[in-house]
Amino acid sequence: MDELVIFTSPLMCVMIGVILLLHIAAAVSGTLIKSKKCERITVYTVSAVNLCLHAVVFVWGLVKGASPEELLLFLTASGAVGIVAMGISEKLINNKKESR
Amino acid sequence: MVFNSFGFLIFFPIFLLLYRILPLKIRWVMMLVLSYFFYMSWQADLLYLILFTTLVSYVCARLIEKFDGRRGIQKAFMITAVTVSLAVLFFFKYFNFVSENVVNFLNAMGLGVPDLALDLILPVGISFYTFQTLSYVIDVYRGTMPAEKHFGYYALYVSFFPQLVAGPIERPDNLIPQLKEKNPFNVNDTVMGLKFMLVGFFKKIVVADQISRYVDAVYNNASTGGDTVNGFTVLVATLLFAVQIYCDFSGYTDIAIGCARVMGIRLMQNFNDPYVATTIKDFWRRWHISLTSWFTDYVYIPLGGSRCKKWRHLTNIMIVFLLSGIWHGAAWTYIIWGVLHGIYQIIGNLTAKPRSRLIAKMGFDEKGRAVRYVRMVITFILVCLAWMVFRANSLSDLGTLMSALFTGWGGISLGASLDALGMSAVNIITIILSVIILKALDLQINTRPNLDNSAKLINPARSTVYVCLCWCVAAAWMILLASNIESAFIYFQF
Repeated sequence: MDELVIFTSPLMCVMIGVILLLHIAAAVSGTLIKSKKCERITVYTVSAVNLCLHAVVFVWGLVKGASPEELLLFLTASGAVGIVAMGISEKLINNKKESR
Repeated sequence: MVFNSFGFLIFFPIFLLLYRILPLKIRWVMMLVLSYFFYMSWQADLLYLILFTTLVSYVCARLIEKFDGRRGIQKAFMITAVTVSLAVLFFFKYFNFVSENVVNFLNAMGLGVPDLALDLILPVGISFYTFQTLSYVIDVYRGTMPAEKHFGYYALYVSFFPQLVAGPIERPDNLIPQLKEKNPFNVNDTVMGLKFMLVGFFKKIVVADQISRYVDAVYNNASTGGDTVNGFTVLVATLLFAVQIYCDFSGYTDIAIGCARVMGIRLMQNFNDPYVATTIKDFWRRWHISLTSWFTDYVYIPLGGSRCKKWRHLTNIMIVFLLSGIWHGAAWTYIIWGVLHGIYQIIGNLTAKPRSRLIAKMGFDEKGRAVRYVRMVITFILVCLAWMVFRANSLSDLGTLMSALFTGWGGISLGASLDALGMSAVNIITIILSVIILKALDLQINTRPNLDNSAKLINPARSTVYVCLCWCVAAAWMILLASNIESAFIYFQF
């Protein structure tokens, strides 16, 4: 098995932590947003930040010689966390709508 | 040109741009020309076949309508169209298989018959577009839809590029009217279409193609054996093949549905989370829905369906599944696979009541969760056993694999088996995470009460998922390019 590059780098672990926080923030923000305009701004901002953070890890990993398999592992892990966050978010939004 | 190619990344935006800017009156010309171009990127010299099939079915349908009221003549034209289309399909797809088996049989009897095999190429998508033309002619004959007068729109129905090569097998009354509609730009449709495409690419490139090498390591080496063929590796490879074929085929369908949806055209659903089926009958209501419904409407019901004597009903089931197996390919493995599913259905049908009584006697609620989960597991096991037959390269390979699965567990080293498969811990975790994402996405698509509104429900968390999916597709594509893994869609061979 190729040596892990991304998951053994302290800097990248911090980046991954930031990405996790972003997923959590995205999950919670859905319930806090009140206006449609605010909703769109949040989505675009979150998407842009998400894109940039993943790009940083992706490119850094490539430059440092991470294997494509490790990159894919990082991305699928992030995707899986995102899916969980999405599920929680929609549950929170539905609960909020029902309580109204 | 496959969906997951650079060529398609150029083709589709151009198609879409022209689709949006051309006037409706001439838009069909562009769509037809580019659909044929898409087909010719596969096999330019076999375009005449799809044209021939299109022409024969068009002419026969017009004549059926012209001789309205004269049922005998109508039937003659319907039979002509069906016979010609099936003859073409038989010749290109089954001639060599049938002739080889007949020759072998006759030679085994000592008759010394020469080999009759021809150098034939299997036309891409022939099974799919042939069935589409058949359903059109039969529907016109039945009077359920009028014959299409405009040859261009009819030809476009047969050759519409998103579903030309591997389905879904569209019905004419669903697709032809939509091809004639203006379908103005709609944000909802565009967003949903792009989402379908992204999910399709994820299924194909991230899941199916990554898994294929582990499946091939076992199934393509069944005859040589060694460390790659033991109980553990065959079990893992079979489970992975179940995931691979679902992701490969439903991924293609998702991309096809997405391409059409971006244009405002709704193709039929082809999969509905098949591995949560609780019976084999339920599985076939969820797997390759367009083919199942085709066989139901044009074979099963005309034969009498279930509205006949029991033995006739069960025979009808077996005929349908035998034909389904044959449809998939000219090989004994596909035929046996079809027959196996037929046997499953027949046994399921005959034991339905005794099983219900047994469940009641054991004190379980038949509609309860426990029974449901047990049924899901049993159905999945039966489906996987059938997939072994489907995937095996030959009957002798199948025998080796079955033997290894049931008896090849002695002295297995897990580490050596995983090494033989080429699997590392990173690969295993990635596969598990990919399947979790897949399952969650399928749940999203299948259980959301009103899918059309999902594009309007702006959710920041959802956008982060789709960004991740894009990156996953990019990374997986890199792996494929680096390792030269063959990335053809499985159902293209049918």
